[in-house]
Amino acid sequence: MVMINAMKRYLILFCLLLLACNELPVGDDELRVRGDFEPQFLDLSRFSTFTEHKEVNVGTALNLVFGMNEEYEARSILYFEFPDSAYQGLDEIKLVLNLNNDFNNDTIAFSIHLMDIEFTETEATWTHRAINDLWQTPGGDFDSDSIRFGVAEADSVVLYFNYLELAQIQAAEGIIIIPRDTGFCYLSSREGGNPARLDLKKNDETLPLFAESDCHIVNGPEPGLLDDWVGAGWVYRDFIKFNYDTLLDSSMAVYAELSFRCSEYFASRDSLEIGVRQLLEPFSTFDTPTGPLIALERIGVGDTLVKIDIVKHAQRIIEHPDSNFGFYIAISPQNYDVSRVKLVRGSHRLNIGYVLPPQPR
Amino acid sequence: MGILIALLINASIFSINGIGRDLSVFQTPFLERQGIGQLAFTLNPEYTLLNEEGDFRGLFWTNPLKLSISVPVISGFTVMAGNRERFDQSYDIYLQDSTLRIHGLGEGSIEEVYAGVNKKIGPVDIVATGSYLFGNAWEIWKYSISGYTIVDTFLYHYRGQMLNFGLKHSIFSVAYEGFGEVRMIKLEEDTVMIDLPQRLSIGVYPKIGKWPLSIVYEHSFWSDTAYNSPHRFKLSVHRGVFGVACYFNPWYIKDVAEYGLDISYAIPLRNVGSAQLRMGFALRQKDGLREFQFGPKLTFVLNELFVRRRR
Repeated sequence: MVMINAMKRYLILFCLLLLACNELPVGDDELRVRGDFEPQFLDLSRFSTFTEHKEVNVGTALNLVFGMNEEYEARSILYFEFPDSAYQGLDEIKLVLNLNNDFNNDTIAFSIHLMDIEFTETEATWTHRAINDLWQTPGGDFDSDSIRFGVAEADSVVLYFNYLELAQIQAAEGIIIIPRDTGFCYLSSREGGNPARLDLKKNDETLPLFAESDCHIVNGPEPGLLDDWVGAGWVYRDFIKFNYDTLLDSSMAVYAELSFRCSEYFASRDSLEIGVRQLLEPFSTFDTPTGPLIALERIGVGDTLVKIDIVKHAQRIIEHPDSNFGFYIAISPQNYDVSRVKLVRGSHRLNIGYVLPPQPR
Repeated sequence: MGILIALLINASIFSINGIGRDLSVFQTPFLERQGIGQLAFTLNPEYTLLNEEGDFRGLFWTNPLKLSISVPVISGFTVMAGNRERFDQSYDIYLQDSTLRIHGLGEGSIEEVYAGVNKKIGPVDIVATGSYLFGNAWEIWKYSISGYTIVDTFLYHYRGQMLNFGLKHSIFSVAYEGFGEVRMIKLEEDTVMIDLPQRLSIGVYPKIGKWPLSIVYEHSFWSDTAYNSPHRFKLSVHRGVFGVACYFNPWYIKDVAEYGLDISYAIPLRNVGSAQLRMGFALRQKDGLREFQFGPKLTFVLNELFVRRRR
């Protein structure tokens, strides 16, 4: 009863509040005083699409990848710093590799080899151990005899070593994980927060040694002349340019929907993120300067049609038609995994919805 | 919280036009009471209800606190100062057609601070005030097409000035406002100089029986032909602590007319001053669009603040 009385008392206020909450277009003609807001739609014609690729360093990636198939091969390299030069009386020596289960890891055999020559984590690639130094053999310089074989499965991989092998690891410039089966496996890296570690156990006490530096190196295929690919690990960027249309002069783009079809996926996860960056100058090389990421869209692996809103690109070319140098699409981040999507050539389309902007006061 | 903020930042829909809603209509530079020091605070929240073809939409708005002070310095000579909102540029409007939805949201105003003198010469008060106009406003326009949304923003800065002169007798008054202009500085655009209207107010204050009346005629002269130069009328009557006023206020914005009724009640506060409660009702309309405004206005007046009271 008290509740009903209170409701009656505040009924008017409640009604006013409800009226205030709606978003009805009451008085919308007043907005039209400031401009003609008829939406217009336009498809820009395509000028060019092509794919450029490059091996890039992936030393700062959150994952370490090893694996191979008929097109790719990835190897992981680890380096441990030992505080003591010699360890005696150890009860157990084991290497723990933590698998990243965000990926669909394959069960694959691998071998571990000692590195012959040092590498730079943030510079090493399939062909280079540092920016200005090539490996003697692309894919890393290591002892051809492995010190251990293993199989990657479940949540982590544990490998045991003896004194002699520990001494060899100490003396080497690191160890490299070479895949022996088809398939790919993802480990957590130092940057990923759960790095590989060596556990040295003595008298029920364990000394964990975490990898001091780690990276993976990737070798990938070269796209055909008419292929449109985007890829990570071995990086493929699809460069696209649409012709500017003067119909857009002085207009305001509300959206610019870039769409394209995908035909083949190579990925170890269920979804990928596609990013878009604008070129700041005419295309010259893979590394033509670009602006920041202007769009990022998560797509499901297997999706056949992808749509990304790149309204910032449309706004830029409307404002500066002379700066229409195009943009590229790529898997983002480019070092997160080893993956690739083949785009259907000629399927790129840019549809722009725009209005004439309102007059200021 | 978001809803609460949305409720507090809305005002007249017609404020989207011109330089906003003119809040200085029927304002004159004259003092309420001559010869005593006064400090007055005014709170003026508003509730507005929009109506068009059976659709209703409510908007709340709180005007800024208004403050005025007057101090007699020598016999018959009073200085005064204060602030008030001059043009309100707040609005909140939605537009919807088959493929496009727009939400226009504006907030801000042109504010005024003024200072002046009132000299009493015999039965006549002569007033002169100067005003400095300033303020900022922004507009956010949100467009949505096919599930995509983008936002466009306008920013405005205002600086300007205005002069007022007046002459008041117990049975009539004349006030003139002029020499007003305001610079509108738009973001990344040129500055625009806006000539504010000159305004002439003529009041007569007859007494019919025991009923003191106030009849005010006001005419604004806009030099910009895009705006009306309207004629306005206001009739007020006071009896004791009660007062009633009705007015007709065609806006300078074309086709907008406003009809209003104010009812006031003054509560004397012993040895302090008074509190005045006023309830204002107004109807604004343009073609088929109607805007009903309900505005309680609370004014506290503190008298003789600057006089040492006798024990």
